[in-house]
Order: sequence, then structure tokens, then C-alpha cells
Amino acid sequence: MDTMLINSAHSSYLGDESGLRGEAESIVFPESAGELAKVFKDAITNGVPLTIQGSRTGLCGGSVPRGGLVVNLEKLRGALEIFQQGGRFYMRVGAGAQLSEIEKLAASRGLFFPPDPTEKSAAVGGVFATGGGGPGSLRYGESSRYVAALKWVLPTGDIWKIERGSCIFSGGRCTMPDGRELRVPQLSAPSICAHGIPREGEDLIDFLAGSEGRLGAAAEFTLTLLPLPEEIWGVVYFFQSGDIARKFLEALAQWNGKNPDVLRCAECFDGGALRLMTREKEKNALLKPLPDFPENAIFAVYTELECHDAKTLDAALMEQLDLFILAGGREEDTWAEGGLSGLKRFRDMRHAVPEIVGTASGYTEPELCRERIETDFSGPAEKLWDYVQMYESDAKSHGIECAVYGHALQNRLHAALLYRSPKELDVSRNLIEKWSEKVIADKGLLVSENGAGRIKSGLLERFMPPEEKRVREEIETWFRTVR
Amino acid sequence: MKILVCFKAVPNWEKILDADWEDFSPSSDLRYAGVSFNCFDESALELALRLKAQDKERAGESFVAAVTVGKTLSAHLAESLYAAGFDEVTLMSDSGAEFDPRRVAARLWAYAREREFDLVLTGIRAGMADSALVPGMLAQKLGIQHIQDVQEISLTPAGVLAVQLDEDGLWQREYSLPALVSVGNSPAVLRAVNLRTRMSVKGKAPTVIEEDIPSNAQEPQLSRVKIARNAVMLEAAGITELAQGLLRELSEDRDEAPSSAGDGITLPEDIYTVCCDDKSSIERLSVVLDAVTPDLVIIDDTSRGRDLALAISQRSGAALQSGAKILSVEKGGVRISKRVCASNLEWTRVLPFPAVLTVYGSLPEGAITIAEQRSAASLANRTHIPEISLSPISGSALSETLLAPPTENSLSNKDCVVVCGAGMGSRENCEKARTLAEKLGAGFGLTRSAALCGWGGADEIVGMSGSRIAPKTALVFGASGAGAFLAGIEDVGKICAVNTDPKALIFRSADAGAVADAPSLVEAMLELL
Repeated sequence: MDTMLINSAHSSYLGDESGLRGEAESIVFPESAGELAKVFKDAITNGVPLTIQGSRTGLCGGSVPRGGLVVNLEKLRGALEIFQQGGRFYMRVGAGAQLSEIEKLAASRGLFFPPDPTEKSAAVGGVFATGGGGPGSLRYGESSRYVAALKWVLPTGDIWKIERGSCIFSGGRCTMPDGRELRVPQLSAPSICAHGIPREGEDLIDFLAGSEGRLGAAAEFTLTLLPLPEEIWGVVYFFQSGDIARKFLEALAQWNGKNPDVLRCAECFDGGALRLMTREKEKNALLKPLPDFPENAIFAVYTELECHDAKTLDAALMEQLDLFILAGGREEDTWAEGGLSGLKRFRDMRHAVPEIVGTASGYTEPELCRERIETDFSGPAEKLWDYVQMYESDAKSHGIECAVYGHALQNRLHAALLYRSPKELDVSRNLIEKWSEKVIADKGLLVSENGAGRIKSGLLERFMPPEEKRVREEIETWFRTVR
Repeated sequence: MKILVCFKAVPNWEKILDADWEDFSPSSDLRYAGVSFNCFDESALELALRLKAQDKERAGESFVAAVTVGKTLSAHLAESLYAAGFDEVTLMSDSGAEFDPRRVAARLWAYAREREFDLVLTGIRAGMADSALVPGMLAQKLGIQHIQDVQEISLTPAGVLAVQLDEDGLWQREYSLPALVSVGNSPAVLRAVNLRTRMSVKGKAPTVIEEDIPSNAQEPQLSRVKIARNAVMLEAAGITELAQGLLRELSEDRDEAPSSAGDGITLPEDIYTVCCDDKSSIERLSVVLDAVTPDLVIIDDTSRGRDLALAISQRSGAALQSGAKILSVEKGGVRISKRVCASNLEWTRVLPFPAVLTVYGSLPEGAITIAEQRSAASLANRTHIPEISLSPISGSALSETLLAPPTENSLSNKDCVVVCGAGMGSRENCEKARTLAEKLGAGFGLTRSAALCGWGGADEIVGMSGSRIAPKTALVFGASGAGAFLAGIEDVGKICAVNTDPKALIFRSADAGAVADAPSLVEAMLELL
């Protein structure tokens, strides 16, 4: 394992999907937990700042270095082996293994990794570090829930082996694998981030998820896999009016509450997202296999339903179609397909939007920086439609193109602002701040499944209560304290 | 009107594990990878449905059927076809057809012959063997004309109007029916169907016709495509230096040039080989071939070349292989290899004489080229004879209109070719790369992905669905390195690749590489030039 000086062959390691670009002095590619531990230990001893990277697919700039050493884990792939224990299936992988590799291997054994994050070239370590979810999180929860065990390398270079269930926070305390106890005082206000402040009963593994390198990094995972469902269908619903879309989503949320084991995902796309996809369709390989959207469609919802029983699935599909028609939808404004291969182009549609948002902005700053200005907030689920309207109307009133998409029933939306000038960039940044205030007022989350990275650091600085900042610093100091 | 679409469902190749590639056989259980319609067949399926709708508008009553030959047909795919509007979906069950295009054509013919279809549509190539021979074979057996490389098609009172791409450009030609149309790089995608319609066909199974001809197919000898190159990655302090480094690489020869189709092959004295270009006419060839009765006939691997090869093979009973690379010429036959399974594997076998091959690249030493007015005696002397182009195989178009001339910057006869992939991101960036090509005196090409994004012409495609090139050097920008593309550049002398992803497959098949933003590097190279 050699540490190399950064040169132009490493230019791609200075940026990620956020569009930000940084600088660093050197780069290293550890291939084992031991090598990673050595890197961390040397860095903390010598005061070298580190930026830990997976596949650099993050949207918030967490992989973008600001000097110091880049620690890239792409070679830390591990054995990628599936084993069975106690009637359940697991996969042991290194942090640098990409989701595509994991899913390919799992599929060969009739299994899958439930949360199903959209970006398949993401490294599993990066997904964990950002607290990643995915469309499947509606049914299956966050990715960390499917980490049965991990090998964690602390900033000090110590290595912990953590099994789920072995270290639980109770009363703000948790005994760590090395026997030390971490005590975290209770905050007087709920956190504005999904991760970083332990909840009562939270597993240490889930606590470490979303820590974005501040508390160390995972070198190896034992992932829980589930059997592929017997039946899976995808349906895209297109809406001619916002009112119909709102009614359908409210009805779908109620239906999902009563039938929690069928609806795998519900992803939405507003008119801006549909227009963007239409405009970019001819240039984007993910969108080309799609037919043209129905005329006058101003909103779309993509749902996936899965079941081990065909009759239950058939009934669910018909019930949802009824909900759609009752809300005012037209049968001809639906697309449906069964089987994983058939769903591919629908899933690609979901994946295409964040991809084209990254390149669709018409303004490029110097040094090819094209910063993504995009919310990734989590608002109250019952206020989903308020948020859609807020994003759309605010952007429109400032003349800025906006595309809204994301996890509909969880109100975890991306509102991507496609600025085209320095002035629009400034306005866009102001809109993000304004919307942040709304999220805080609604007791939502500013940081959920993509981490804070560099892009949200300013927001956290502004909106995070001093008490929470202090507690986070204390936690970070605890993890960085050499034993 | 009765329309038939012959289609193939293929595994999602990118989802197959490395271990399964190493042990691959046509009978491997690859269900975990899922299946999809072959991309050309998918276009054919959609075009057939559009014709059905068009016929309905003019108060016609079209019957549209879809048929496939293979071991199984996924229930979901069959249901999708019914839901989309196909009246009949049939599986000609067959376990021995994957590497036997004649068998596939025979089974399709068995289905089609009594049903008197007015129009048969197929993709230009499909299936594991990727021979591109089945459409021509089927057209021959049905005794109907073969209309090739079609991108769009519509009905006319006299028959059909087809938009076709050939080396003379993009044409709109009208043809009478019946006909077989093979669909090439078409933008048509299979329509989506609404939920109720899709649900209504749930459980509707295809008609299965069991195989009635015993299969005596031998297990093909398959091996993973050997990667002969592993890019030496360029390092430089800045983008300008990187651009300089790339230009330097372009001017230096590769240490060891890869072999072309016939490179380094010397024909034994007693093996009589005749080579002809695809512009030869079958009638004139017949005269010559009757006179000299060659052991081996070699033809360019193009659409016309394959049709010519089919005609010669049918006429003489010679064994036939398309897209072949000659490994050696032996006593009783010729050892060849061919890329199959989306260019992930190589199929090696000995084709017994007499044989007809379509190949690409240079010809073997000692081969004789066909000329129009050379006598059989002079041919027998085996002196090298300069080629004279003969009139092309005449089509049977009722009328034709040139829509667009062929792209000026040819891919052939260039020492260097610049190729752009989807990673270039935009048409504008590709145009800059085209300017770079002009400044370098190089040809210009695109991957299929980039071409279907509308960044250039379909005749600029490099890869299995387009041209295979063999210049001294190639500069590949923003291509990931999919197998079908790599097959198009495997005979390039030296490949220099640029991609932002250090793990991109292209670097395993290139001689020199740079991890960089391709459009930026193009601009830097333009500034230097």
C-alpha cells in the first residue's frame, strides 16, 4: 500500500457527484482493515486531515477533499461471499464493494439486498457512511438495518468487530466493543439530522451509519440478504392535475398503512422532473428505452409491489388502480409491467433523474465546478403535497427551473434547482435556506439519507442548535481519543 | 395484413457472474440474470405494432404474431407481447439452436411457411451466436426479398416504405410485399401498456411448438475473450501535460500489434482461397466460382457481404460462418474464432472445406481477389490481382430517395480514428471531438450508445452493430468498454482511452489510458493542435 502524491491521473478523485471539486496532497488505496487502520493511526499521529472515499457517487460532497490525504476504499472489496446461518442468508463484503456486484451475486442465489439504493456504482461503505436508503426503504427501512455485523476502524486505528445486538444505547449510554462506555446527554430538542445522536434502544451499528467518516470507517460488512419475492410488479401513474395526484397519494399512504407488506416503493416526479426527462431523453441511455410520457402529464408516481403470493399481489394492484381512478386518474395514464427484467426501464427512469440533474444545469462555474443545488430534506409525511407545492411555486416565482422527485410517502424529496447564471445560483442558495427554515419549523430533518457532506455544512452551521453541535463534537472527540 | 416478428430474448449479459462466464455453456442456468428482448428485436416488435395501428387506420385488419426459437420464453415477456397487441405469441421449443443459425431459420420457416405472412420483421442480429445470418437465411427459405438495416417502416398502397442505412447513405425506399425486413439501429422502443391491459393477460402463456427435428448440435467450444492489453495509465501534472502525453502515445507504435482477421495467416499452396468484396454481384461471382471451385471463399463482413456469403453457401453447399477471425488454415478446413454472447466469449471451431466466411480486416497471404474480367486461367496462377468493383447487388425497391449522404469522415482507410462514447455527455462535446479528429487527419466514430443519443449518424457506429475498424491507432473518449463495442476495435493497433472512471472496462482493453474528464481533454488537445 503506497501513498502517492496527487497528480492529474487522480483528477477524478478530487470530486464527486455533488459537482464540487477539491484538492489534496496525496492519496492512498488500502486493501484491508489492517491497512486502513494503519492509515488512520498515522494520520491522527501526524495531524493529517483525511477524506475517506468510496466510489464518489455522493450528492453532498462528502468525498470532496480539502487538502491532506485522500483515503479511497475502492480496493477494499473483500471476498464477497454468501453464507447461511440460522436459516438466514448473509454476504460478507469489503467497504469498497459496489452495490452492483453485491446485487449481482445475491441475485445468482435468488436473494437481494433489501433497501436497494438507486446508484448501483456506489460502494457499500459509502452508502453506510451517508446513512443511505433507497426506494426500497419504504418497506425495508434504511440500509444499516441490513448490516448484521461490521468491522469498524476508529480514527485512532483501533478495530472493532461489532455484531448487531451486542451494543445497544440505553439511557444515553452504550458499552463499546473495547469495554469503554460512551455517554451521550439527552438533547432538549430533537436532532435536525437522521444520524449522529443516538436514540433509545438504538444499535451501535445504526448509530455509526451516517457518521460520514467523523467516527471512523467500516472496513468490512456482513449484510443480511432476503429471498427475492416471487412476484414483483411496477406501475407508473401519470396525473393530469395536482389535485388528482394529491388525492391519490393520500389514499395510497392510508392503503400502505393497512397493507405494509406489499408496497415496496412509491417514488414521485413532478412536472419539472417530467419535462427535464423529456428534454434529455434522446441523450440519456437510461431514458431512451421509455416511450414518450402521456401528453399533459404534470406529475407521476412510480410504485413497486411485491409479494410471495400472486393472488395477494393481483388484489393489491387492482385496489391501487381503484384508488387512482377514484382520485380522478385515467386508466390509459398508467404503465405497468411485471418481473424484474420488465421493471428495469422504470427503475432506470428513477435513476435517471438524479443523473441528469447533475449535468442539466446550464451554468458552470470556473474550474468546471457545477455544484448541485438540491434539497434532500425529510418533512412530515402528511405535508408531502405542501412541500411539493412550496418547492415548485418558490422556484417558479424566481424564474428558476426546478425538478422535484423522491420518496413520496416519506416526504423525502429532492428539489433540484437548475440555475443558469451566477445570479440564479445565489437565488437558489437562498431558496435552500428558506426551505431549511420550513423543515426546521415542521420538526423535519435537514440531513437524512445522503449525508451532509460539504454542501450542507453551511446549513448545519446555521440551523443546528449549539447544544447539538457541542454533543456531536464530544462524541467525535471520544472516538478520536487514543486509548 | 399478416405480420410476423421473429424475436429473441437474451440474458441480461451484464448481470452474469464472472464465474459463470468461465464455465459458460448454452445450457447454463442463467435465469438469475433475467432476460430482455434483444435490442434490435425490440425495435422490430414495436415497428410491427405501429404498422398494425397504421393498417387499422386505413380500415385494415392486421394480424400480428411474434415467434421465437429457444429453450424457454419468460412468462412476463410473453404477457408483455400480448398486452402490447400481439395476436399470437409462439415459442418454437428447441434446445439445440443457439449456435446453429440454419436450424433457427428452419424452425422459423416451419412456423411461417403455411401462414403466408405479408411481412416478416426481425432484428438485424440476436441470440448468443450473434451470426446476423438468420434474417437472410429465413428470407431465402421463404423465397422473399430481404430488406436490410431498416430504421423505420410504414405502409404504402404498394407495400412498405423503409428508411434504410447502407454505405451509400440513408435512404427511403419503397418495396412491394411480401418481404423480410431486418431492423438495425432504430430508435423505436416497445410501448408501455396500461395496468388493466397488462393485468388482463396475466397467465396467458405462449403457444409452444415442440422440436420435431432431433438436435445433433455439438457443444460449442467457448472461452472467455482474452484481454491482451492492460492500459498503461498516463500520469501528468495537469490537463495540458496529459493532452501532450496522449498525443505522444498516438504517434508511437504499439510494442506488439494485435492480429487482424487474416494477419499472419499464410494459405497452404493446395488450399484455394478466393476473396471478394461485398460489392460483387452473385451472378458474376458464380461464373468465376464455377470455374475455379475454391476451397474457401472470404467476403467482407457487412450486410451485403453476409447476403452474398449466404447465396454462395446455398449454391455450393459450403459451410458458412459470419464475422469470423481466421486462426489457421489446416488440411481439411479452416480454424476460426468468433465473438459471441455480446462479445463476452469466443467460439472456436474448424469449418470443413468447402467453406464461406465473412471476415473483417486484412486478408490472409496468398488469397486471390475476384476481378471482373480475369480468366479462370489467370486466377489459377494465383497472382495478386487488383480488385475492381463490380456493380452492387441490385435491390428490388420500387422507388428510392436519398435522405442523407454517407458521413464524410470515413472510418476506413484511416491511420487513426477518434471514437466518442456516451461519457462525452453531449452532442456539442462530440462535435469538438470530431474537430479534433479532423485536425489529426483521423476518422470519427461513435459507440452505439452515443449514436442513439443523436450525437452522430448511425453509419458512424463502431462495434458489433456498426463497423469494425483496424487503424494503427484509436483514441476512445468516454466509452465504458462494453463487449459489443470492444469487438469493433479489437484489431486496432494501439488504443488510447480516456474515462473518468479508473475502473472502466475500456482500460483493460486499451494500451494507454488517462483517467480524466474526456471533454476537457479534447479541448486541451485542440489547443495544442
